[in-house]
Amino acid sequence: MADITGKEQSLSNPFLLDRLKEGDRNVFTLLFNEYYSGLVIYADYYLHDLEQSEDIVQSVFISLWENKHTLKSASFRFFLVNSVKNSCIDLIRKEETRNKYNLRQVNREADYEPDFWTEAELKKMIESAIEKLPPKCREIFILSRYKNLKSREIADKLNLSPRTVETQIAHALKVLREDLKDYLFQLFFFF
Amino acid sequence: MEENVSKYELYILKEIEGAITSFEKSELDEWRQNPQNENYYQEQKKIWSLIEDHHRMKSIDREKALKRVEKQIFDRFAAKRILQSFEKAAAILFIPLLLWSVWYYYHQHSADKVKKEIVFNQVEVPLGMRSSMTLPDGTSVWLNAGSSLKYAVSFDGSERKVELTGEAYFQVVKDKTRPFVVTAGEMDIRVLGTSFNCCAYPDENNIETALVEGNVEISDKSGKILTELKPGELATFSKTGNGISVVKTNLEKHIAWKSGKLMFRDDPMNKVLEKLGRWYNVEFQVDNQEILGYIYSATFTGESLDQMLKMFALSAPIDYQILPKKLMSDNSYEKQIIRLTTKRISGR
Repeated sequence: MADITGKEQSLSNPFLLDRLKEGDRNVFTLLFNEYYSGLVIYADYYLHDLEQSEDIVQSVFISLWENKHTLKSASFRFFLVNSVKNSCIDLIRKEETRNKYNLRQVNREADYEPDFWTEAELKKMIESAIEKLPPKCREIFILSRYKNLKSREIADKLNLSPRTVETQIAHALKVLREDLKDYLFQLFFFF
Repeated sequence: MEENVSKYELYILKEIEGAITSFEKSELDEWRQNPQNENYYQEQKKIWSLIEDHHRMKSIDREKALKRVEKQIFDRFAAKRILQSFEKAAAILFIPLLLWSVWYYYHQHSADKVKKEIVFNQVEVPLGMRSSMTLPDGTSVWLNAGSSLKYAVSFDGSERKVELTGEAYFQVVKDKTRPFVVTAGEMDIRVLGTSFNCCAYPDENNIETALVEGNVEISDKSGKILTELKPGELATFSKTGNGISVVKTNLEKHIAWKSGKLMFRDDPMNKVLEKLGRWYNVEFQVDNQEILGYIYSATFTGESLDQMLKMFALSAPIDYQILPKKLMSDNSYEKQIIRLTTKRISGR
């Protein structure tokens, strides 16, 4: 928890804002590397189109650079996430007026609001949780989630029964939930 | 470990993997009726989707995206910066431009009261080259090496006036209302519509005018008519005050140059060397003055300097030597000098 908010603080340092306003390209690159992939996945919650999501996030970064002098608060995270969200909603509205029958499957669940995580945050959270899993469980979990193998394929590969594999994955999921659930409800403190 | 995992947790996993049976699904849905279970179900799904998100984030090509964005931002800004420096330069230049405009405006207006300003254009042909052009009235002009022609950009006066230094062949478009006047040194050539050659190099003593067709009128600066020419005649005007003489001539040798030929017919060597020097942009250095008195006939057609000199040595009792070019203080080379000597008697 402290680690994550700590990271965020380091990037909302007013010093960085000053340097960005002075046109320091390194600060821009730093922000881009920190937030880009997280923002793309965030936009994809709205758009369900990865390519379009990348386009939107890129134009948000361009407008960040162009409007750097008007930035008041140093919360880059807030600025970026809000800009991406607004751009996505704008785009969906435009498409809605164009096509009466919206082709896009917009998630219309009541007050549905996707979470925003940076890649580094997720990496830190998930990898430290995975580290805590028993070795066998961890191996199966990684094959399942990161190598995209089906339970049956993992079972064949490790010479286990599919049922064992499924149980191991379900167990990993359970442990991760225990480990991560605190984060999930702390989201809004970041904004 | 298996005891730790309920069958519902397995169902959740199966649902995520899309491997749940309809029976299992209905059991799961029933289980989710309990709000606590539903909450647990949502949390599990969220963890799953976070892991999924992380996985997808890792597959995004951030480097490529950054390059694309930087290209859009910084290329554009670089162009802007160049423009800004132009703006500064323009601002600095603006003040003198303004002053000049004011001066020019008053100057123009005062000049208008006297006579209308004529804008002139000048074409120069360097040594060793030839050129042809068309004047605003359609008259064709061929300019020989080392010549220049100054003319009004629009011939809107009562005369079509041009000023010649060097040699030119004119094919004048007929316009009886506006005579075509060539000023060559101290004399004017006035024509209505004809073809003629005029050779008026400043370093030569005579100005030669050879008429091909039509008629021309040659007058001095005061406007006094000196002579009128008929086709095939050559007028030689002496700059040293010896008047003007008219003789029948071999027209071809006067106009051959415009088609790239250099023709000499019984011409004195000093004249030949002047023409060759301009034609090839070289300078002849003659050790023995006797050479200048030779009478020479030859036709050169597109020969290189080297070929020309070889022909020259074959057709006249002359030896040549190409002197090495000297490097001058400004790092350019001086004109090529060719030294001419009388041919030694062989067998000595």
